[in-house]
Amino acid sequence: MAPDSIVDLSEADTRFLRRLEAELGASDLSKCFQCGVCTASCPVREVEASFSPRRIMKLAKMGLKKQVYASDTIWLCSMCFMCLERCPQDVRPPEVMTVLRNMAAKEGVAPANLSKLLDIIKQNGRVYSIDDFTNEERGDRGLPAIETEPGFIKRILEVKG
Amino acid sequence: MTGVFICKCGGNISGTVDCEEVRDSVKGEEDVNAVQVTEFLCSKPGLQLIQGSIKSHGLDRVVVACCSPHMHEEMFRGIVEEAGVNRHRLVHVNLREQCSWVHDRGATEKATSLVKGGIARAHTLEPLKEMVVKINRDVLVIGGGVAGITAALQLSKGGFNVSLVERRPSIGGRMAQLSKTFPTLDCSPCILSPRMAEVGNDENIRLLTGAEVASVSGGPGEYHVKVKIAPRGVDADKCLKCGRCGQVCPTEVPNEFEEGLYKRKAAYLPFPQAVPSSYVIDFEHCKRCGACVEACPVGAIDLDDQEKTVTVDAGSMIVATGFDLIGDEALRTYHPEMSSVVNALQVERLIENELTEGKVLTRRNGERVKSIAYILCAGSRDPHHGVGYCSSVCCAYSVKQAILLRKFLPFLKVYIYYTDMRMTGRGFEDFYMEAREKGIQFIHAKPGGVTPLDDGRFEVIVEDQDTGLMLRNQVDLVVLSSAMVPSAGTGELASRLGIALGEDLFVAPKHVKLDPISTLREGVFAVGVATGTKDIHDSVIDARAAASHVYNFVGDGTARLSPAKPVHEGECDLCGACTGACVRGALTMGGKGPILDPVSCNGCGACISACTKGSLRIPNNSGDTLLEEAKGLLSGTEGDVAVLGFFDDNISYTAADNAGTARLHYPTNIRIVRMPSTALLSKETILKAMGLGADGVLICEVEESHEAELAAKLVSDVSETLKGFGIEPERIHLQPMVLPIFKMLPKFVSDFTEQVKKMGKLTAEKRKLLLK
Amino acid sequence: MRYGLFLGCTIPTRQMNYEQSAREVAKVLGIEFIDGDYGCCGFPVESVDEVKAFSMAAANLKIASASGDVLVTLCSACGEMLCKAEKRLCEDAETTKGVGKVLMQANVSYAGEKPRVLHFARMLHDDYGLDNIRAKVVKPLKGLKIATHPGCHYVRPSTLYPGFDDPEFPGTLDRLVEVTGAEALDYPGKTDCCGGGILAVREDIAKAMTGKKLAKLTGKTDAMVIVCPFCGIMYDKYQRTLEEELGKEFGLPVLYYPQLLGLALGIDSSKLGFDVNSVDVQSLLEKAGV
Repeated sequence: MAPDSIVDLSEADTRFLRRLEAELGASDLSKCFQCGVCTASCPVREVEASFSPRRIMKLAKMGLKKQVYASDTIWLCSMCFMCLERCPQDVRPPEVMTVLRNMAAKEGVAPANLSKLLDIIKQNGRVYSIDDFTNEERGDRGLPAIETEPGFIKRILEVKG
Repeated sequence: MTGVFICKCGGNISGTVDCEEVRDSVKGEEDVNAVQVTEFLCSKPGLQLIQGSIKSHGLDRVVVACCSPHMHEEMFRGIVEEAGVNRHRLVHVNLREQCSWVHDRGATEKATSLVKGGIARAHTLEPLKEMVVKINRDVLVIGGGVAGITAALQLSKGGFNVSLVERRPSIGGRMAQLSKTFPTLDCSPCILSPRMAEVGNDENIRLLTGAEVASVSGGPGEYHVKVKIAPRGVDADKCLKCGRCGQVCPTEVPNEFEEGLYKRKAAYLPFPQAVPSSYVIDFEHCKRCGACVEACPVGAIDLDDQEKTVTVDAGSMIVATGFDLIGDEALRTYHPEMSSVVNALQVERLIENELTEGKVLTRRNGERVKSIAYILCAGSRDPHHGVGYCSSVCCAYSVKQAILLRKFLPFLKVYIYYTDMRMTGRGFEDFYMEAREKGIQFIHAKPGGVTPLDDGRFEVIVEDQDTGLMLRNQVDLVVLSSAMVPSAGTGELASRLGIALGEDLFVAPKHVKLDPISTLREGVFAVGVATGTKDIHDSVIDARAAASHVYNFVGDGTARLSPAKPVHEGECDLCGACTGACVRGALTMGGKGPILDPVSCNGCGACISACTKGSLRIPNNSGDTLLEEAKGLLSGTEGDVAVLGFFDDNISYTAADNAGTARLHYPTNIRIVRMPSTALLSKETILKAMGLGADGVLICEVEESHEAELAAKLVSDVSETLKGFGIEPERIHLQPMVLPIFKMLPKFVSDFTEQVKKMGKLTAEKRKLLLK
Repeated sequence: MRYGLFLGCTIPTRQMNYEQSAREVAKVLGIEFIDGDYGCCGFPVESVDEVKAFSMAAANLKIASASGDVLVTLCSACGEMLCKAEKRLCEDAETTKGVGKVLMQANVSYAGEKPRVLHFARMLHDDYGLDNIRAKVVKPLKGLKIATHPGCHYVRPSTLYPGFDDPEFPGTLDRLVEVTGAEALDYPGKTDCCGGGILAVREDIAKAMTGKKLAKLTGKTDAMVIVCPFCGIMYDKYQRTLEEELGKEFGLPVLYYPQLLGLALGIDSSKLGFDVNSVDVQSLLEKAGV
């Protein structure tokens, strides 16, 4: 039997929607009336047809969680904030993206590279580790050595929950 | 013999207020003979119920507990009067906008105390008679656009004398600037110009151009308006419009009628169909070289012409001040500063000046304009950068202009970038179809901005909602269908006239559905775009409706005035404190005491508190009445803190009603007392009210008004006394209000209630102190 | 004048040219930088757990406030993260509570410290002043045509930087370039994003975004000037790769602003970290006459 290409609105995930609306970043999501200024101003959409902030806002508003998380598009926002400046209704799409990303990550859905990056930060307290070689080069350039490992970063990232 | 009638309002009240419980709680109150609960008190059966009950119980006082008095108070007054009860012995308690719609739990208890307050007030009421005074039938119309012109002509035909004040040197407004009107493509100046000429010729219409309202005094039925008239410099009766002055004038400035696209001289004719039909000297830019004086064959020019001030007396006024297009700042990303980015009014002028003359639109470098992009909703529906509302007419006029442009220039590519197409008027949908049939491209997307290209064209990039494709376009001309905003100076004019603005800064109507032409000030009406964006059709309807209102208000030259005006009884040593306190000049000192001009008096009560002998009072609004009402309102508040809110009727009470209509909630602790004006309050009354049970007092008065100044003084006075008693001075608070921010009112009430809750209830000893 | 200096992660390890030139410039201008034991600002973590990210930011803010100085960041993303964290912690009780819980469990005592944070270029423009910089220029870079790339987080979201620059038409970096005597080019697409934010997720898209601006500017300018290491990695480090992948030739030197300013202040080019720049700057230095 051919797959049904129609999305039944009863698929809308009301729990997803409620959690979304409770977040500060998505507080004005319902104001979106789909004008498209966001996507028109988006540098990512200029080079990648699958990424449309307008589309994501609409799918999120309708509570269609499956479609929102499909094909990783919510991870493609480069956070340039041009849409945030221009949106007539102050929907703040990048903030909505962050909320959606946080929700996805909690369910174990996050791009592999990002998870790897997080592990590195957890290990080193920084994105790039600083070792003796680094400090040697720094010394050659007259830059102060960076000795300490920011343990507080590790401890923060290791906090449960 | 008091009768109490409680309305369920079809669930609007009974949804949260248990009306039967309220009935049972109040039926034992003193002098209450009848308490009835009914579904719809304002309906015929409801009104019959009241009248029947009056007769069968011999009632002489009536309390109705239902929706806001601002809705139907007048009607209820009429009903009880018909059945033989004095109309001023009706108390109208607000159980809906200020109770059932703003509370959930505790609504019934609050409703009970509100009704008890109403009953207590009813017991103090004297039977009063309205005053019938002669008033001025003349009308002042402010604004000479199509709405003002229509109203003036309609009134003149009805036999009224009209003064029409117009800021610019000619009437005609925006409609005179248009080429054709939608959807019939009628020629705009052709249909307007005969009306303009009529105004110019009409004996009943006194036309004042270059004129603006400077100040207003008096009251409904007798307004005195000072009008400043800028010097024209040219005798309109002598001017032949030969144009010689304009030819020799050395000064060129941007032409306002042409929206800055072309220039005019400092000696100029505003436009060919101008009324008054005469040249004007632009004294702001005139170099006083005198060349025009010499050139004029009939000696019509006088460069020493001075500004004049005249007083216009009128019983009523009509505000028809129209709109401007939003400023460039909101539209920055579309580069409005560039000459090839124009707004819709400029396109109208381009059509009239270029296309109808057989010319072709050209870009700066002389090349033909071959493609045009319309950007709809530019600045509208955009609270982030512009205004939040939809400007109503842009979809229709953009379609109109596109059709016209293609008619003159068939090779033109026209793209209309829209967010939603709103073509609601009669004939509009066919018009829209015509545009599509003519090949005008509608693209369902809004650009974030336009990028100027090196060759002078513009790049427009959008994500088309319908296809999902990103579309890139390069066009020669960009048209911004930009937001309409109230014309410059509307805010100042509104405060001079004493009328309120809405949240969107257009003039606020008395009731958006049932009374959209009346403002919150009696005798002042508002029409056209002054009350919100609309097209010519709706503006004309407004104007004709306003004429009808005026007729009802001042038609027979008399008005019935409310008897809630100060009455002088007792000693008077002619000290003059009362006349000094009156900012409206309604009180003058006679030989034996103060004399009142009831029309100018607005019942604010400033004179009452000023009188050192206590000889002035407003019937049915004395301190004693208030305290009786307070006793009733404060009953049942032993469990939690009680706040008494003294709200001025016109603005603050309306704001509270608006908050109720918007269903914005706040704590039940507050009991709002409707005051004709808070200037009626005295320190003694407030202290006694606190003694009777109020733990906090919130005064809401119109921001930056004389009454607010008095209230501020009162609050600081009371605070000092409270401090002296060892009571927190923060228990009394003045909250200035303006109507556009009514949504903030619930927050103000909540915040103050929280503060009072922290301070707790006043102790019995403190209350005794206050009552002394 | 003295400021705390926040280096972030990328600059002290991979883009030392920015740090080197910034410190040299500060010396000449009489600005003292105070280092601290900072860690990652939290920017990369925000996507996955914003409360943790704000906690990281808060912990860094606490360190900065201990020295009592205003904190200057070289990296625009760090600047945005720290400013955003301060605003959130001021305005949202729930975030403040969440951050408080995390920090308590991580044994970081944070009492709500919020020192002033500003970008290095903003500090020069607003605090130090263009006239004061101009006064110290000894070798005006006349004849150089520079295309500034303000990047995204330097000016957006504009609600984080009230009263500073224009998010649509940013001009402060142009003014800073002009005080060196060079000409700042006006060009369409100045506000384009480098794509660095999604490099970890979709390298191909990020590079496509980078390539757009490089293509726009080739042949039109002598160099690009940037103020963020994300942009440095994309436009400078990846330029050669992009040339190969797209079959184009860009040859566009990409300088950090203090590298350009350093030349105008008469600092020897060997001290400005040009050896770290991937795209060769030799022809540019010759044109500048150094």
